[in-house]
Amino acid sequence: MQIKLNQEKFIQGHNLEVEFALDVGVAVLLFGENGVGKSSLLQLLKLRQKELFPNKTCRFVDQPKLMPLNEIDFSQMREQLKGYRAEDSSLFEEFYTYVESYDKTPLKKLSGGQNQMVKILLSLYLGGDIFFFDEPVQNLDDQNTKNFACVLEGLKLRGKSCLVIEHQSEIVRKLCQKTYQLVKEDNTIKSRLYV
Amino acid sequence: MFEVDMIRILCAFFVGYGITLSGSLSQLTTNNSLASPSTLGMDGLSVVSLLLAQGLIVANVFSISSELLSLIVFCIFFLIISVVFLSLKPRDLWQYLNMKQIILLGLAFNLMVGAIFSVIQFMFIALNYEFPTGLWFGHFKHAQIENLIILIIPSILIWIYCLRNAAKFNAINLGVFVAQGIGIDVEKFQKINLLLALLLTGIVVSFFGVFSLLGLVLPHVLRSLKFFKTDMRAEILIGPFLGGLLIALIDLGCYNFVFYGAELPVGMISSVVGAFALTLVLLRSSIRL
Repeated sequence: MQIKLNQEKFIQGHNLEVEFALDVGVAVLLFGENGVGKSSLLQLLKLRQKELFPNKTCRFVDQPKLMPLNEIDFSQMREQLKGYRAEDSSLFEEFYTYVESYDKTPLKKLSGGQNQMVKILLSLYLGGDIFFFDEPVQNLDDQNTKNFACVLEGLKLRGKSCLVIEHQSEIVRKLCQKTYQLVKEDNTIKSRLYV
Repeated sequence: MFEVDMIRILCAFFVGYGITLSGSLSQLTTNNSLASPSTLGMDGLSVVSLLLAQGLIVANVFSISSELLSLIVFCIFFLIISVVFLSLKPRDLWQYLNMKQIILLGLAFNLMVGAIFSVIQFMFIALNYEFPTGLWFGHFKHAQIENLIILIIPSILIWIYCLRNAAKFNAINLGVFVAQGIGIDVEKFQKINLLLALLLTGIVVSFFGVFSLLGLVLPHVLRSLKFFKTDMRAEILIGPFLGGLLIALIDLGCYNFVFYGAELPVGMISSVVGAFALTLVLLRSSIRL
């Protein structure tokens, strides 16, 4: 699937002209210098998901932590969000063990890494066709980084498309079949296939 | 033996119900524990309507009750604000309301209204007009069946709307990013909910005066109770009834225990109880501010 996105005055007065392929069973890596608009691009994709990916269910794992007002834990959260589950959400059970030990701990009391793993597992629980991850291993320790790599591999094997914004983890980079770099050229933010 | 005025008790109940619902609606919508009718400037706008209505009554422009005139003035404000607020386009890509900015604006507006209130009060006294100082603290001395009906209908309708959207509230509770990710139009949802909270606040204040703090405090107190700790649906479903019960009980006390011939305003007592309860809840738990 070829995605083309054009937007005037995208961020800081810069226009956006990006194009990338997001195929079935493929993980795509997106990287670029700080402030180039990677997270903003993900936000744009989120807001235009219905128009860009018709008949597909998209799942987004963003950078901000889950910050509920109440004492809800992950098991209760799943119960409350089950109405938003896609038909194909069977992948969750396979990776549930990663978060099982803090399944009943209030989200407020989770560490940054645990909160991140919950967000990743939540996207699997909800299920979908296309998964977007914004710096998914930022708060994760080595073991959980490997766990995320397993999740990514699992998604690819199930024929899901994934877009990952990442610039640190070598493991995650290696799992992505295609890499795009986001660059600022003149007054425009563009994507380049990175070889 | 307790004396009970049923109309008055029902008014008190639905005021508590409306304030709790309005407070929960503000906090759940914005995923911000500081949001409430008091901090968002809703109380302030309603007081402005009250003051304008009072001025029009003194100037003999209208000959209807000050409560009804206040509601009419508020409704005009409400319509203007609704049109402007709903037509505002998001400034940036993120498309949800900047709550920190809105709360600061609301607080500033409330402070400004408080200051104007004091100035007008001074002028009324200087000109030997009778000024209803009790406006600032809500009471039920003039409870009427008409006011009760006008309060009940939107309260129940908004409660039903909230119950129907409970799943969205539970999603937004995890963060606006999560809610946007699963396809909720967060910005529109937030705008509609804040306007509904404003409408409820406006009706309550127009008829019965200000019950400051309660909209902020009651949702926190509820969430400190075991039954409400994990599900926003429970807070919406049961919370308003408990808030209503609390205000009805306070009013029953104020009605029956007169202090040196004067009845204490319920708004005054409920503010003291509310401030005390919030302090206790804050000390007991770790509310994320």
